[in-house]
Amino acid sequence: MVIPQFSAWFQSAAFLVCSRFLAAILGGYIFSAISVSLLAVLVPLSKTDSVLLAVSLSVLVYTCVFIWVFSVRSLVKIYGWLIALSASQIFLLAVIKGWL
Amino acid sequence: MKENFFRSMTWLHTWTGLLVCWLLFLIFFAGTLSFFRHEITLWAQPAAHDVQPQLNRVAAQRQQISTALEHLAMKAPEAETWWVGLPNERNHTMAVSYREKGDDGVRGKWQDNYMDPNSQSILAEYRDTKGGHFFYRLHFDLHYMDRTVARWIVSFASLFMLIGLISGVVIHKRIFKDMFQFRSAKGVRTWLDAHNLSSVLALPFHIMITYTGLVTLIFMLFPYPAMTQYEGGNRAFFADLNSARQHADATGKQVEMLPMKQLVDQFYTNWPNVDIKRVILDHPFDETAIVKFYANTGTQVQDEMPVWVYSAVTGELKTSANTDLSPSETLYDGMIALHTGRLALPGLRWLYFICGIAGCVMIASGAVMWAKRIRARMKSNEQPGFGLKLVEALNLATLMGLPVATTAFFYANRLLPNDLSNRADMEVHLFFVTWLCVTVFAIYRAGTKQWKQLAQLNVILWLLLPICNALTTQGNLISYLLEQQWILAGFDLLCILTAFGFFIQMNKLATQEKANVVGTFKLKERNT
Repeated sequence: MVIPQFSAWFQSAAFLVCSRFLAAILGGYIFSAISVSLLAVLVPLSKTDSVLLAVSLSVLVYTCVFIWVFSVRSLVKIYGWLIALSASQIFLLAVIKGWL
Repeated sequence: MKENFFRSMTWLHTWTGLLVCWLLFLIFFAGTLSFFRHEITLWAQPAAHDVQPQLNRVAAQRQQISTALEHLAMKAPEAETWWVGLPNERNHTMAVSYREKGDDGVRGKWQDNYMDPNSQSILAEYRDTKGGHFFYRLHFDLHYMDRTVARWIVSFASLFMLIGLISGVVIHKRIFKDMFQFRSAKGVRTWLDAHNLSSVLALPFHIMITYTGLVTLIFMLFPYPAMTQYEGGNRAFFADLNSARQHADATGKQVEMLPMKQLVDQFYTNWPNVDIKRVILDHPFDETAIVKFYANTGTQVQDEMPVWVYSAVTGELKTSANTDLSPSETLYDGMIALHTGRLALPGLRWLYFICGIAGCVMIASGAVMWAKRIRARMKSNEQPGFGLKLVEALNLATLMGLPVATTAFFYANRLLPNDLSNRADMEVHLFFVTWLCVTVFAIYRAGTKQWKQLAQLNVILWLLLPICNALTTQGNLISYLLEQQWILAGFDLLCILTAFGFFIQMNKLATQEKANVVGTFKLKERNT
């Protein structure tokens, strides 16, 4: 009896809206933070220039992810992509920087 | 989430907008006033009203810098820092300030003095006021709270603004047609038209100002690229970016500095035609004493001022920065320059101001429209819910309360005694107390009648402001116009124009109120 209740809660409008906002605000933030850090490392510019370019684009990245989260129907797909892309980028960053 | 992209964007637009609209209105309102930050500060400082602009401003600077530094050497040899702010087109006075030495890690207090550059005499009776800087700080630091927390809150609201703008463009099918469409006196439809018109006409401005606004706080929001590239994060990054930002601590070893005139001559031999904005001397009479010359960027799309740093003891050029920007620096710094609008001459400055007003109208009309739509959907015998009541109260408190509070700030500037302790803070407290009073009034009831009453109050307050100014200072609107003091005349005229705007609103609301009464009467007739 517990399981059906649980799944009903998962499909309630409040939960769906909150988890979507969480994905957009927090997930989008983490994703953007990692992407622009990776970008700063990858672009063939001086250290100061790479940082300035990366931070200047960070708002753009964040906004695009935010809008994307609200345009995709499936929550599973959103979380899947966000986690997969963030993880692979941070892995790449760790390899480049030799953090491992 | 919803059936299609269009529907989900509509949903997103409505709810992100509603959640932050009142805070955004405050940010836009204060930010718009900040475009006239120095003009408001001038108005707030009657002692500076009669200082005449200089004819050969740049040519006079060399002499002014020497005089100011010599004055400071006499007056504050023990200070931590000397600061000389030179007059420019918007600010005709000259700042000759210094920061006292702090003790035990607490930074010393600034002692501000202002000079008339024509007579080279210190202006007396400067009143303690924040002037336009209050609105400037308010639009990103808020007030009565920790700065970092405030900036995160403001950034969050700005992000939602950006999301609201983009989703707004997506759900807008007839963007071009709506530019020419305004149907007045059609209820909710009119509010929608006002919302569309103010959004679409100034859309590039809205997107630019929101994006670049986030960029001004970007190193707080996204320190990660700097952290990946530098061991020491932001601090190390900035030290690398701008060598003039690093300064050695004072050693405490007292030495003689070069004569001030010689120091200034040294600079002018190398750069004879630079328009100087300010000169700062750190650690006077210490062996680490340095003097920094900052150039005025004028109308260039550049916010960071070029700076040259000299040793004040030996006179050698130690470093310079921001004289040539790389493409990335130009991108970043250009965005900051677009946001602050320091580059704007009067024409462009007014355009900035008008676009800012359009932003306020966009936010206000969106907020009002939400409440009107819910009201329109309600059945005649239905009671409004808590959410609707809250939105209506906040709308009234913010949209009508902020202008009232702004006049309170200006009246406080004119009416508080000059020798009051903490005078500048008192002005700010009065701003917030007034706003609180309006909010309490709005919570009590927020109907058409209350809107009308606050519109009346605004008419009276804004109209009396130039009169209050005429009674408490030497000048008035007529003398400003005769003596071509355009900034002060502009302030008075804008007050009268604002009062006129509220007068039109008051009349509209009065007609509406009458219509409502007739409507209720007819409804009652039908029911009986």
